[in-house]
Amino acid sequence: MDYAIEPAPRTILHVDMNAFFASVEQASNPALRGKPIAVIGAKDRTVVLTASYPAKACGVKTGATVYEARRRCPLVQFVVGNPHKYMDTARRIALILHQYTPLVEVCSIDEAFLDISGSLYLFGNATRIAHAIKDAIRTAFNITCSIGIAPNKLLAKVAANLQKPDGLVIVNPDDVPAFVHDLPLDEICGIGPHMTAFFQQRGIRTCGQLQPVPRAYLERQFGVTGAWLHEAAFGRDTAPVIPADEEAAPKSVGHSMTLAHNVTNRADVEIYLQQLAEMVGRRMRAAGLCGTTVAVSIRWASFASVTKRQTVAEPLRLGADIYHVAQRIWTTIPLREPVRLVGVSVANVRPQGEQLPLFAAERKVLQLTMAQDMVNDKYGEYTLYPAAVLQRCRRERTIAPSWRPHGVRQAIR
Amino acid sequence: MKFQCSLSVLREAVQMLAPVCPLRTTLPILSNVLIRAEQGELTLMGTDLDVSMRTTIAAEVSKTGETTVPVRFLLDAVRRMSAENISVSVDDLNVMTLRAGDKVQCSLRGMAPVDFPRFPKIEAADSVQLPVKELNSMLRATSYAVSRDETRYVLNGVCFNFAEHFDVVATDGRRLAKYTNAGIKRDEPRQIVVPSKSITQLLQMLTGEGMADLRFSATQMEVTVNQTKLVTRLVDGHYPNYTQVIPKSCQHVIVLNRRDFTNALGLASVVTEKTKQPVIRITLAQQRMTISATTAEIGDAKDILEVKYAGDDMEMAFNPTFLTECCQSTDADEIMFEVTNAASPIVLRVGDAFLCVVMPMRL
Repeated sequence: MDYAIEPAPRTILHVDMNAFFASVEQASNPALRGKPIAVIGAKDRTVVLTASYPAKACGVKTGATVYEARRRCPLVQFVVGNPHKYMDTARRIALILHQYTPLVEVCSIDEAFLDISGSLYLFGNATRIAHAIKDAIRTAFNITCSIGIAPNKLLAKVAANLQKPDGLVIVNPDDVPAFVHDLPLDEICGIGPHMTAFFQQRGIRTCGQLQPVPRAYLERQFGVTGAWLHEAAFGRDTAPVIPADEEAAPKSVGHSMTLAHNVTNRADVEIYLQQLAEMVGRRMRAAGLCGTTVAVSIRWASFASVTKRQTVAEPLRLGADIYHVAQRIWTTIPLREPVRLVGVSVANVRPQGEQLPLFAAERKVLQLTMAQDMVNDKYGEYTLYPAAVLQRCRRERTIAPSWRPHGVRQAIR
Repeated sequence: MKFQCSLSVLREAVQMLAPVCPLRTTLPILSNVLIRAEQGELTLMGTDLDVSMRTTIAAEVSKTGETTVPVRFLLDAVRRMSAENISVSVDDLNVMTLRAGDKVQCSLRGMAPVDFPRFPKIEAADSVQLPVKELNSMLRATSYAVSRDETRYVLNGVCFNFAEHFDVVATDGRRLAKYTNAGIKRDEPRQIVVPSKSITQLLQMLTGEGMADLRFSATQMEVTVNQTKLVTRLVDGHYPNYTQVIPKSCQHVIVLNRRDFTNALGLASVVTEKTKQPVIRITLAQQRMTISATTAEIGDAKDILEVKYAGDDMEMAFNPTFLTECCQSTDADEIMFEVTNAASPIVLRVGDAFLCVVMPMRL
């Protein structure tokens, strides 16, 4: 007897949280529900980060200034965003997603890809999984999401964008040719305004119109991207869903920041270096890495920049040690102009061997850092940091584009 | 200047001095060795201003004088010559001509000796004498453990501690090696830290029998062995209190055959070779110690040693280099493995004189 089960067709889910920051705020404050609200940053010159759907309907867009938003929608209520709350919610959502497949790629704070090809039969079918996820997120957080189901990441993302809010769009493998035929090019993630304009000048607006364009021509125009474009026009994409723990090990870990005002004082730059060093150290420890080469980058007011490096014998992982080297590098850079941007990075990274120090004083520092990490993991970033750094960071926190839910996989195991 | 001497003796002397002379330096003359011919003897000297070394060999001097030549070329030249004796002459332009027999000849351009730094004189201070062999074993047993981290410059040196005993100590903050000479006592305690480069150089001259004479002032140490003298700057700084690091007691003492243990570590190291952060595991169970390692790149290895151990099962992780270097630094047949728990340092001990404290890695 033949027990072989026909392998399930490749099925990718794209989960997109609807107006994520605004939804989280509305979920935690019933008075805001159903109202036009806009989540803004805490800084003086802030812009709208996310607008709720009623506000969006009035034309309040992400990136609009407070003034502009109020002009378009006089009733809009502004809420100062709380990144800690969003990161925590995103982490919990990631935990829900992991219940349906281990192959979850969180690609930003409010979006994730799931490869459910292997767990389709376990839960019935893709639609059931999508509904289960939507229900779970709604029950837990009272927020909605749009889900796209398709044979690959490219189309799943397009599908999720088609119905908002609270949408569910399914593209079956057989429907792909029809689905892409009239799909505008700029709906595809990866085709930006430049490319759209390029094709528009040549009378190409949809994927269907792009299909007859020879691959060789596209490759000549766009290099490697050209080949990808050709495949994308047919709705084909083989990019795998990469879970966080299978991402390639980074070659370096770094942070940089453009300063709110140009700085002309050496000591002030040092405080930024210290903050960046602490941030780099924290990220390296979270990723289980240590490294031996520290680089300091400075961009001057004139936009000229300088980067200097130093390599040490023993791998570093503590913010204070990284700062120590960064500070030494900084002493070798003359302050010629006001400083516009400061960056600290550590290269030559390797997995961190958990070698314990022999001297009690050093062990204490290590234990203190581990305790600090635990506090920051539990109560949010910048709960416990060196005082010099803390005062400013509290005001200037943002969510890095490289944000990933930390500890989700470990929690599952 | 003109002299004749044994080629092999000259070669040995140049070989010993060469590592002192820096290859890249802002003072070009430091890359040279100073050679001074006096009645019946030849004095060779090299320095990098931190470490200076001088040695005297016998020679038939027909015309006295002094010159300097690049030590690197002199060494390469005498290494490639084979003869009983070598005859050397130097002209007024400091060109040194080496002749080994009738057919072999090599001329090297030197520099005038006037700019060569004077050999440092150390103001008479404390002194200690001990057999060359003993000092050699003390340094070999410890010097590998110095730190290479420049930010911890005190740990870049080897600590000589004179008190009730003479301790030689080296540590990089993760393991510590100590060798005690109980025969040398001092009423007034004294501690000095000798730079690691000087130790390497010192080991070069600690060969054969005889006594080594150590003299030290506040900033320098001078070591004399037979015809050779080394003067080194000392590390300026306070060495950490190493006695605090050495466990006062332990739960279990396991006697290991050093050769077997070293072989087991070597086998485990085969699979950790290419990893940047090698880790080996030591597992203790009733009557056995298992030394193992696994890496994704190469594979795994395991060796089970039968030992007298009756405690609870225990698993520890170590940097294999720390254990291997310690085992290789001694000739003893047996080594004591003293352990308390997986998160506390272990002690590898040979007799009363030598011990090595190694901090484990977190599992």
